[in-house]
Amino acid sequence: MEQPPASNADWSCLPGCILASILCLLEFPDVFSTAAVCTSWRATARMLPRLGNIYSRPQTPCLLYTSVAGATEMFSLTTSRSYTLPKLPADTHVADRYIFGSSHGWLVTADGRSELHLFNPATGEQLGLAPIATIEHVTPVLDDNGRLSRYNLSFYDARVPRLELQPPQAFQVGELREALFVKVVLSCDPSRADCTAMLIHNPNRQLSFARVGLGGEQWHWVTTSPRYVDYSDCIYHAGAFYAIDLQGGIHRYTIAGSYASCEVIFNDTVAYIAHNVYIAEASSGGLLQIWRFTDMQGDETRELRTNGFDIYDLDFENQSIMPKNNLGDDALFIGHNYTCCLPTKDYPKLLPGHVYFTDDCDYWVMDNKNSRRDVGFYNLENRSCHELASTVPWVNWPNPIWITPSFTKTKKGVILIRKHSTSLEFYKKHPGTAGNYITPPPSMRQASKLLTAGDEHHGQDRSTFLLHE
Amino acid sequence: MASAGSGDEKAAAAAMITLISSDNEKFEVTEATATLSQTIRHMIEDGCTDGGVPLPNVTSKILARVIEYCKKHATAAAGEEGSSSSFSDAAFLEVDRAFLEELEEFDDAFLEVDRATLFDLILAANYLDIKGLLNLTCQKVADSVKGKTPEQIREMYNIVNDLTPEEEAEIRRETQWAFE
Repeated sequence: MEQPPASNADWSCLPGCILASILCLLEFPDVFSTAAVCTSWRATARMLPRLGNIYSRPQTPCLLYTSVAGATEMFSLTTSRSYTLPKLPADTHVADRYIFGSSHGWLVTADGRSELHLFNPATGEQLGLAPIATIEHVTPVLDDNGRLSRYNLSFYDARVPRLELQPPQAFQVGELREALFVKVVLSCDPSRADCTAMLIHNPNRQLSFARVGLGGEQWHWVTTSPRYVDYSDCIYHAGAFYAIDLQGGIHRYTIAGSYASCEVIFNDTVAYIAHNVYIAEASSGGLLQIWRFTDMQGDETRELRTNGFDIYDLDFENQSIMPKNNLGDDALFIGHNYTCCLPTKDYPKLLPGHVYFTDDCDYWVMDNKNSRRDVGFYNLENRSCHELASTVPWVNWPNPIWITPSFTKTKKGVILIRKHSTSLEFYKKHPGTAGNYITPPPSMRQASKLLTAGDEHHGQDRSTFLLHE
Repeated sequence: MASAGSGDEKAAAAAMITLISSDNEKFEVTEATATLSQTIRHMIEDGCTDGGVPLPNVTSKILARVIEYCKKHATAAAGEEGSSSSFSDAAFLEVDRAFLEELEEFDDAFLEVDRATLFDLILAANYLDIKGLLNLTCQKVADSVKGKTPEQIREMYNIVNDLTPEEEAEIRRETQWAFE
């Protein structure tokens, strides 16, 4: 029998939908490399985040920072290269913001009016958090014309009945953010599920929480704390927030509506107030208690430098800590980011048993915005600190922060594309609503062609495709 | 060439399907093997497989490889169903683990092909809608481009750089943020 001619295997003609499936398996720096291969690959690679949220591959953390030129950049630990984010609308400029958190790809930033926003630098999306005037300790003061002139911050801790420790203090609208916020963590990626933001704030580093998006009009003050409160860090684990205080105690908060019930799950470890205490979930599932040690270096230009970490497993039964000399396969990320362990088998460019850190000591960072930032990684085995890069491309303020880029967009509308033999039909659908036929904008037509082109070629009849608005 | 399940009693008892490649070669396979392809499964459900299933987009060379994959994975699926009732949980897990390892080894060996064959396997897996094979082949390509420069990728896949000077300039200017 005569053999058919061997396929010419023109990889540049790989159908768009197949190429997209391949690119979805790659981290973004690799997708960017494929975008510079040839015209057809470039078209698919550039459109990838718009193709119906199919691009959800977990990414190795990057250091997000502001460059000397004022651009927002991400330093990838995968490629040891920096990537400049596209120019963003002025109202999202990270360079003008204070950064208080990074969870699931979203930065938590405070703007010049001290309002908090979630901002996803990878998609350019911004979500407002509840107004700060709804924080229990914050009272807006209006001028004679009814305009906001300043804020008063009241000084009572989390115990009830309330006890004013000192008279309220007045803050300029833009200055309140310096005194008020410590850290914000999110329960999940708000583009994927209903999300709650937990805020550690002053006075006394206490807690308030707010929903993100629908129902998120207000910060709810947590008054169920077992002590006056001095929280250092918080994570979301198994359906509840776990907050650790500056003496190593861990309190579990379960949220129902506007109420957070509290259980003490781990007693304070030390009798004094420490500075940098963190809580993280090991990738094996257990909770870790982490202490960071710093010292002051330099006579003229005083610099706070990390010089060590102690990490402990928790024995809940005996309420005791057990020193942990290594992290096994995990790498740990510490700073204003959501404290997390990542298994290096899934993120091969990370070093196991290392702590990647940025400085986040609120009293130090706020008062020394122009000091050299303390950014690097620490080897737990030989207890040595290392610089991240030989030359530092970031400015000292706003502070650099670890972020795990997420390219998932929030659920706006999706466009369904139905393919007929000769034409495409566009159908727009919002969550929970019936859809409408629409005339799509040109960019959407282009993206849809990518999805459907290869199929015509190869006789596949997949009739429905998804595209994001 | 390549008829399915000789010596396999189960297969002999099962319904057989004839697949016809683009170069008109006939392959006889069990229904269990054939229905790993969603495309063929739908044809069987619609009762349009009498007289064979023509596959005008798949050559005999590639179809033989695809059938090799489907046979192995159909056996795997049948093995899982069959063994669960006849072993204790621990023994079942042990058998299961050994089987998965064997399947992994098979997949690794299966992927030891040149780039042209890999390309044809991807298109065939897509056309026949064989999810496992499509995932396997796509992962192979993804792994091969990890950490590579555009030039290295072009060389590996024999792709001509047809980017316009404007696009080249754009790539340089955007300092690597490629998403629109």
